[in-house]
Amino acid sequence: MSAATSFNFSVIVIPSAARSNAANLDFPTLNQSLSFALEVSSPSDFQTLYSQDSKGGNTFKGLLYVPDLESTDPCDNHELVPRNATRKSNLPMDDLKLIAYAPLITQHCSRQYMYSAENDNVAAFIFYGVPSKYSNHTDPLQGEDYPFEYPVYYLDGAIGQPLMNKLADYSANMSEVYNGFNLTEAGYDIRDYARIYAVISTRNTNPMPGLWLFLLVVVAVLLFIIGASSLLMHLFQFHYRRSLRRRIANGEVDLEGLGVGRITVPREFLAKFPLYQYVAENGGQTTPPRQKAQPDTTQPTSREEGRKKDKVKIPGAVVVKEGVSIVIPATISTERKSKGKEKAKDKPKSPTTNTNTPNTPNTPNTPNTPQPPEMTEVSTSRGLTLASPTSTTPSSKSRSSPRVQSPATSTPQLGTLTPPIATPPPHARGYHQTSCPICLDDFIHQETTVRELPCLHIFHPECIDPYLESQSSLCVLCKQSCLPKGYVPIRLTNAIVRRERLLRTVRERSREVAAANAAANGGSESGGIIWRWRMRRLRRQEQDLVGRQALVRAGRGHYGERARGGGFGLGPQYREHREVEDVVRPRWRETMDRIFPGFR
Amino acid sequence: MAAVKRITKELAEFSNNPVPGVSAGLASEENVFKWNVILTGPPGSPYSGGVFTLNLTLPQEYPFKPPTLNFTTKIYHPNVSNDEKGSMCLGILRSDSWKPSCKIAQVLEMAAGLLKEPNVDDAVETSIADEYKNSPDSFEKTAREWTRKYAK
Repeated sequence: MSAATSFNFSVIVIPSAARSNAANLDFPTLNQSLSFALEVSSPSDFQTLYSQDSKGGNTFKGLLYVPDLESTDPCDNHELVPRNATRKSNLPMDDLKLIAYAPLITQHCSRQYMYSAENDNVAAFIFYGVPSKYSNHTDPLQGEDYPFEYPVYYLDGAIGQPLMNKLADYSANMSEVYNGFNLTEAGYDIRDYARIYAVISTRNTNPMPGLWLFLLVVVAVLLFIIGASSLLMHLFQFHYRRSLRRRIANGEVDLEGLGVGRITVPREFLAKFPLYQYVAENGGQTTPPRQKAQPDTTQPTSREEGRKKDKVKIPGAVVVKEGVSIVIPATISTERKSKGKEKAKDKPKSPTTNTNTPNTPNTPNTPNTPQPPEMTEVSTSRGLTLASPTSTTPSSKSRSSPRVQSPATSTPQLGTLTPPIATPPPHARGYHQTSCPICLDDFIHQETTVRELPCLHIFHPECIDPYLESQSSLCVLCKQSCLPKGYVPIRLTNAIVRRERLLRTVRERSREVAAANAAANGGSESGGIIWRWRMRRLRRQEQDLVGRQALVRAGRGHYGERARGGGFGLGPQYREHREVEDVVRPRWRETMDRIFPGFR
Repeated sequence: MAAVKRITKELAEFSNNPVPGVSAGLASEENVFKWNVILTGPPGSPYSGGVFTLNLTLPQEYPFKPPTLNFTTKIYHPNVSNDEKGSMCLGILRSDSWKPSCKIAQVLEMAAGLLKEPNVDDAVETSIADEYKNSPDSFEKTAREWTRKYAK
């Protein structure tokens, strides 16, 4: 589509002698003071009725003329068209560029004009409006398919009719045109032709050709696909992270084993590990243990709070607070001293006596404690062993213990009827450890303040605290995590998820390989070809996995860590490799990972 | 500094209560993290009569990180790497089994014990371990030869 933006009308002089360069109409325009010029550029003054795709230039140029009609045609010699308006015959040559000009009278006349213009091979057609007594239509074709090759424009009548009159002024030879005398005086030859020349400027109204639109659509579709897959991957990764978090919280994943950097104990957790005044296991040779068991009165509440929040349920802790005196009567402690030495080491730590009551694993405060307290004999000596109910759950025990403890210990005859008593906490019983494993200094009975970790190992707070805060979350003695179960101390990244999955596959595969090996050793080696092929594949995978295992383990940086299939120095090499991979990653890879976290 | 305090304490303890067949001391007075250790080959072993010098290096994080033991005297032993480092592989020196409660004296005792009885399962030099297992005579011969050559 090429819509008109402006119309320019001026008068040019075509020398009678000019023949060769006439087609370009490259002639000087007449001085405006001697002739006439008109520019129509206000959009309200014209319309574009029909336009073809512009072929080549954006302007249509030509001499303005009124197309000839059949002499019998009623439209010919219409009163609106002056008799002497420029006709084809008034033009100096045949092969000039032309722009047809006619009033928009009736549809019939318009069509006749347009057919005639088609024969004259015009560059464009300009209709102009006429007063409504002659016509009231503005569309020469009215809905029919436009059959011509030239564009058609419409000029407002207020401009069009005077222009038609001007067209009549410039149709004869130089002496007869408007102001002709002055023109000949000015030096123009009398045989020259002064004619109205029109220039129609258009612009392209279709700035977005089909190809661009197509490209745009393609780009948009691509962007959509990238965005959608990125979103999908992020969703999946989010799901994986959440499930890993859940498994960590459930204690199914050993975080330290993942080798994902240093896991430490935050200060707020550290502060909740109880501080006690050290009580030697057999320290109170003269004083009864119950006095040792008295918690340090300066900060009992914080201690209790810490215990509850830590979920280290030590039922005895409540007991200690409420009635320490009942825990271990003085008489028993003397008994214990005499008998304790021989039996203590391998006895389960139940104070309720019962060697046949398997409640040791139930008491929550003595899991895997490497130092069995020497309290067992306390009641053994008093004949309570017989039939303590064994079916009580640990929770019921711990709940009931504060209430029933007193009768259980003080009136042994009732022992058969009372539920078992919860184990008193180590600080009430006395600690097995005699010195700090870190500085090797001995603890001083009832003097040293000790930090008790959830695994019940004790240290000088000044020795263990900096270590837990900056080096590791594991107890240095039993390598048990000091972090509460379910606490996820690190930000779980996609890399950690990947690493955990890799480790899991490594473990699964090595189990598979081991099973396959066992099967191969057990069965005959002369199995089918497929079997042998499977075995070979599994062994290859195993080698690959061993290498990867070394890579993963190398992250922990053990001195002397050796991969099973490799040599002594494999660890550091792999570590270096891994660091290089992690650190020197080009930016585009990082961006790629951010957009598509699933690839890798 | 906690590490220095503990090492000093251990050093004093060790000099009061030395391990038989082992003598140890600081390499230099101002650095407690480097010890010189001398093991004498236990009688009855192929190393008998030999005097082996070792470097005991304690990490700054001691006792949270294990010390390392390096033979400066060349020795033909399954648990000692046969290179210029001469690293000794001791089970308790692996960082995952190391415990801070473990003392230097115990480490040295273990090292002396390894001269008496090599630990094949924890071997660094697998070829020497194989030889020790399969043809003890030739192992003993080489070990004796090396002891005579390097440790006297």
